[in-house]
Amino acid sequence: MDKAAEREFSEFVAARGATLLRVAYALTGEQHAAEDLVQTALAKAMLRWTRIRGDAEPYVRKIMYHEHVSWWRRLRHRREVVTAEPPERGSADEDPHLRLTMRAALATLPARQRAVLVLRYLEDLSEQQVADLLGVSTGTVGSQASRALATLRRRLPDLDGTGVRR
Amino acid sequence: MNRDAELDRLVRHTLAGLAAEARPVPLAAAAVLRAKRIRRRRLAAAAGATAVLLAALAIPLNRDHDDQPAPPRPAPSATPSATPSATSFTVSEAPPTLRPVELPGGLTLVAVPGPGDSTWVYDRTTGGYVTVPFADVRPAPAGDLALALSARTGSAVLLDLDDHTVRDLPLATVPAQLSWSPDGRRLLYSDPSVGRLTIIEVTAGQARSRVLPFDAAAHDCPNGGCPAGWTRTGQELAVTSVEGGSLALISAEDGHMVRPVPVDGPIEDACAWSTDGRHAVTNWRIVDTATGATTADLPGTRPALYSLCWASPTDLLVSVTGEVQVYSPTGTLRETIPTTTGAPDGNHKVILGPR
Repeated sequence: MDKAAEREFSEFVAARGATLLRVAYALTGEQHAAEDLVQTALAKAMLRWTRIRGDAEPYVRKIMYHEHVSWWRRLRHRREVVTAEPPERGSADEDPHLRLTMRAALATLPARQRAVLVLRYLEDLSEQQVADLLGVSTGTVGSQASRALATLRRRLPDLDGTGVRR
Repeated sequence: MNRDAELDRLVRHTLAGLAAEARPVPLAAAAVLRAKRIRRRRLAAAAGATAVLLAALAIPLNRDHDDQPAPPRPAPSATPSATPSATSFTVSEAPPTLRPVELPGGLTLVAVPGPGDSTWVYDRTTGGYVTVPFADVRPAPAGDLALALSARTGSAVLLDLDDHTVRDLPLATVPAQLSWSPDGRRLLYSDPSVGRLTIIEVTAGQARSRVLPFDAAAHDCPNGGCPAGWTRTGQELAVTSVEGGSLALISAEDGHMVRPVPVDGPIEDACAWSTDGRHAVTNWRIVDTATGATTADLPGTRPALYSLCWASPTDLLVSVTGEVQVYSPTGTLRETIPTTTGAPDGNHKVILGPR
């Protein structure tokens, strides 16, 4: 990579790094893993910079999502996932309680399901856009989202009809 | 609102909340190093494949000479030795035009990124700058030690700027995840995945780590997410709870709870406290540590690359590209000090610290 391209790459990272890190944090739930994910994606992007310069962000995002799914596959049999036990049924108007339970529930989802939720709910992408990014059919996106929401619903009994404080 | 809509709303809010917790860190230097490592590995793999191919071609040729005595094998050129605990690195002169900027409170720019993977570091002995062949250098607030990013391992290493040696740390992380105690003798590593606090003692040429007894559950850190930072005295650590609302000051010695402070947000390091401890910076705002009230929002959005340090009870210094801004506790911009360093163009992090 020549000096001009390296500077261009650094400028891209300075401009978009924080946004990418936020998405990575939503995917991984922890700062270290998020940084690692973004740096891996950026390193791969840098190696192809001459081909993707000018429109690098879609490429970096695509790598991030695929890396995330791939890491999860590699690690799920070796790493203990730290999660909170679903709490006893409690008062539904405790927002912090629900949020923590939701976080713990999100942490138990398979990586692709979590990725679909992040793309749909955080990045506000359509089913078609999610399918294109993950390289799957729209049907798969729909079924992954349904399974993820069903899991979350099971783990959040407090939601049942009583409403949540806003 | 029905249950599905409520679930949608909660998923959206939780993911947005998670995303907002990401702390901005410099990413480019580490990404560049990682890309170089990937490239090296690919080249090595390609070379290995070529060697295997050549060997495969060579074996049939050698079989023609099986009746001849095998040539003597070359003896190993050297006995492998254990990795030394510290190795030397070369320090060179910095550009003569680079002079330390005099900032309030006896502060200056203690690390300025140089060309490539080098950094110009303030030398407290000579009062000038030297060039060290490392990126992301973070000098200790006192003494001759500094953290840096190793191009070899991609992890943080410890530099001794006095005897020009570098040693690995007892855990693999990056400089941004470690923070210096005010005396420059200890490093804090806060592991967000398990809510664990580790102190690395770096005195007497040694780096030894100890895990601080710390009940993460008692501080509402059930799944990590409780960042911690040093206080201005270095005797305590300020631990953020997941719930927010206050910081728990715990002993840096044995982890016992000292007192809560009504500051809602994480503290990056000792420099984020005013020298009298009355104010602190958290989440890009200045707060009164006695009441928790926000006295000022720092202007604009938090930059990706910056360094800040209180120089006195009333002067907050914020270093951004090309200048240092001096703010009062109520957010009044008192002074802007240009810091043209001669560093290469582009965004880079310049570190503030004591001279």
